[in-house]
Amino acid sequence: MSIGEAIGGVALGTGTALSKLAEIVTTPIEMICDWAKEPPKKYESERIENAKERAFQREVEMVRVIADIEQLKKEKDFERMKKISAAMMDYQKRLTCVNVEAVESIGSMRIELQRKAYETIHEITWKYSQIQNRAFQDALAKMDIVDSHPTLSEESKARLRMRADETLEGIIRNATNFIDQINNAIQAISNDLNLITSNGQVFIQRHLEQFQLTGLSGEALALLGHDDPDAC
Amino acid sequence: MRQDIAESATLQTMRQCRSALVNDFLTRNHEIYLPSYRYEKSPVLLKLARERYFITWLSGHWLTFSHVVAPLPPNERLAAEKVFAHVFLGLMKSYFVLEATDSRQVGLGLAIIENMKKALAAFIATGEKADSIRNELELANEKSRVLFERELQRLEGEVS
Repeated sequence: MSIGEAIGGVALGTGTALSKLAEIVTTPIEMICDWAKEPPKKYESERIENAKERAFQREVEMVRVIADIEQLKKEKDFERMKKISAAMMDYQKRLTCVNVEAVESIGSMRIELQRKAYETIHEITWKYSQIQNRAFQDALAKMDIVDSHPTLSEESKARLRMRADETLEGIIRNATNFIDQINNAIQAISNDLNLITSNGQVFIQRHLEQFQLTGLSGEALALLGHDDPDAC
Repeated sequence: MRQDIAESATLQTMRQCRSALVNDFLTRNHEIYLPSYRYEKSPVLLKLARERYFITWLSGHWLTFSHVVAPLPPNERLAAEKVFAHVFLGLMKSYFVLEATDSRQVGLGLAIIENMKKALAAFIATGEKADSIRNELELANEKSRVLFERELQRLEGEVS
């Protein structure tokens, strides 16, 4: 449910304005904060789960590769295959490493950006709520002035009450507009983050393909030799 | 010999970028100093603007390096790229962009930096738009207050 829908139908007449105002001001802000806070938490736990799963898959893959190599060793041209099998093992290990690091980095970037999105939205809503509260207190003060005025006629008081009611209506209208705008901004940020993640997945795929293409060439093996083979 | 050229190109790149950073502070670069005033009431936007500056500075290393190695023959350029990639990965690690063990991950690091730059710009734009909406609200509130005061004074005048 969007924030806009959540407050839909709340911008009622001024009769119920006072009772609804606090709800309008606080509820969407809490929703915005919850929206921005939950995904990082959720994503963090998903990331841990995925990391565990990837570690398990990596183990399975390594066991499979080792089993394949063991099979190769049993074959009669063992000596000829010895060097190739060692290179293959190193290559597979390196490829798994690269995959894990790439996925982890994209995941961390998403969490970091989501945290920044949360901080931005939180600051925006907090500052807005300050203005909103001040406007609300002003409107109440106007009502008090009118009600307790010693000399004004009832007709004049009715006129001023109408003016104060208009202010309250304005506050509700502005709150609705503000929340719509923030909702749009959140949607845009959310879409951007999704795009970054999906771009990241495409990037990782392409990145790994490049590694696979150069995988067993002499040059690639030479390059692999320069990096720490036990890293990751 | 090729290793010497590679290391020299790497050191030259790092020196140029460090010098650019110091120079930006000494010459009061707008990207560093303006946000301090523009966002003095928005600590989050100020933080985002500063991060954007450093991320942009970080991404500038690869471009600077490209210029430094441009005159070299292809084989020396490739050797220099490998040395620089290692150093650059270390720098990215210190800025928490990427933790990689293979020098060929440098492409991923650059892609992450580009995405972060775009996202930071989007967050700052959102914050600025919210500031503008808030200014409109403050104006509307002030106008409403003044109109009420004026109406009250007029009606009080009628009574007396």
